[in-house]
Amino acid sequence: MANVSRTTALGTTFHRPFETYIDAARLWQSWDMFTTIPHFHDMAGALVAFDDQGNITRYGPMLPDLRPLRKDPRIIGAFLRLAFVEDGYAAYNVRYLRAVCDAIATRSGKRPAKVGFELYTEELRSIQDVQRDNRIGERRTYPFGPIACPR
Amino acid sequence: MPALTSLKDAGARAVAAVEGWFFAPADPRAYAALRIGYAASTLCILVDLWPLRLSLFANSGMFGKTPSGVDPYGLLDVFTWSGSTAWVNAVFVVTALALVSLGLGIFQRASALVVYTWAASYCAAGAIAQSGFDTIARVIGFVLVVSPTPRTWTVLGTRKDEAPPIYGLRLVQWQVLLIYVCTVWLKAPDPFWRRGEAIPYFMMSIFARFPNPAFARLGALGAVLTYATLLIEVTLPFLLWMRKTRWLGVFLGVSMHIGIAVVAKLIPFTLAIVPLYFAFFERRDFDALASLVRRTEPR
Repeated sequence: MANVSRTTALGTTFHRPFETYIDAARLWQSWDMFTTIPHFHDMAGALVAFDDQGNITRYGPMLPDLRPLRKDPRIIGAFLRLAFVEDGYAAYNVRYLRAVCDAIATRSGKRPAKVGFELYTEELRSIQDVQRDNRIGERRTYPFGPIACPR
Repeated sequence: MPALTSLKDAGARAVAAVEGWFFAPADPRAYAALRIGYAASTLCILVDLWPLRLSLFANSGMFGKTPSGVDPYGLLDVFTWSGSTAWVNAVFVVTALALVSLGLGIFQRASALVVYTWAASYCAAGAIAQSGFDTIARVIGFVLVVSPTPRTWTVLGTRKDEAPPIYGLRLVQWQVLLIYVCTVWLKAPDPFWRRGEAIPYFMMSIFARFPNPAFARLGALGAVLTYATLLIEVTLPFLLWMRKTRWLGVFLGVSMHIGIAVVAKLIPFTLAIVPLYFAFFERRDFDALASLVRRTEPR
């Protein structure tokens, strides 16, 4: 019963008596997969590193080794959450920024001043538009940052 | 006084009903099938996760060292103990061995505990990359830790006349109900699901195995597939619960999930959820399966 949806007007009062047990037994869960359509037909991404002079170098966003984004559903989900979901994942953003700054410093021999992220997408077009010209996606880039690298 | 007596009787009957519901004897083959199916599907999830293990859980990965002490219940989160490549590899290898051991029925509870610890740990450390099948691996892992461990269909042989209490299977049945009903509850208000367009859009998305603009022209078929998905999801737990409709539920559920595995990059979800259907099976269902197998065997 403790896992009944938390999005009702009942709020979370109903869940409180169970929360200690749920947390201790690691039984939290949410079944919101594909509650609406996926918004992208394709996705890629790059880190954008700025040095002190403002020079830009792009790197793959996956660690270790700053590899290109892997099109695995887990990784797609992770980057979409990093990019668009604030609740519950803010700590991951902080940890990701620190990790990529460290990795770029190791690769280039110099710590970047700032790092940003570019999410390259092909957004799904409406069914009516696809019917007209057979093009499924519309290219769109979402820039994030740049943010100063933590020292 | 008669009113009090009848109230007491009603209370006793209610307690007996609850006891019967949770502790009635179950067919040990249901536990065995669930255990073997879970072990096989979770091993597939582990293999699927293997290429990402360093990215998600190692110090050299995307999120650096997994912080410890954030979660008071996280003492057993093994990825907070160390994030070295050797440790992450070792955790995965030990878990794979535990899954094989669980599937074979050796040290069932200890093996289930190792698997559950791994699943809880990776879900906590890599929550940002978690999917529904990871949740199933974690939650059902917990259920197997606390469930009876009958010696049925194990490499150590089968102990006759075992009738373990049914509570572990009941927990899995509730879990299946929760998964399907919650997802329909959340999907139903969405305009794409309401308009019958969700499946055509999904089939052109990044999660589709064969995205093609032809799916934009499915028309009424797209709507039928969308509404049929919702209908199957909302009715499935009840079809599985009722004896008369159980095989219909199995057929619809397995067909839907095999269909998803074929057209979407989501094979682990199919592998994770289908074995849970065994929790609904009773003696007569296993007998029917056994008789079907006997009939199809070459003479």
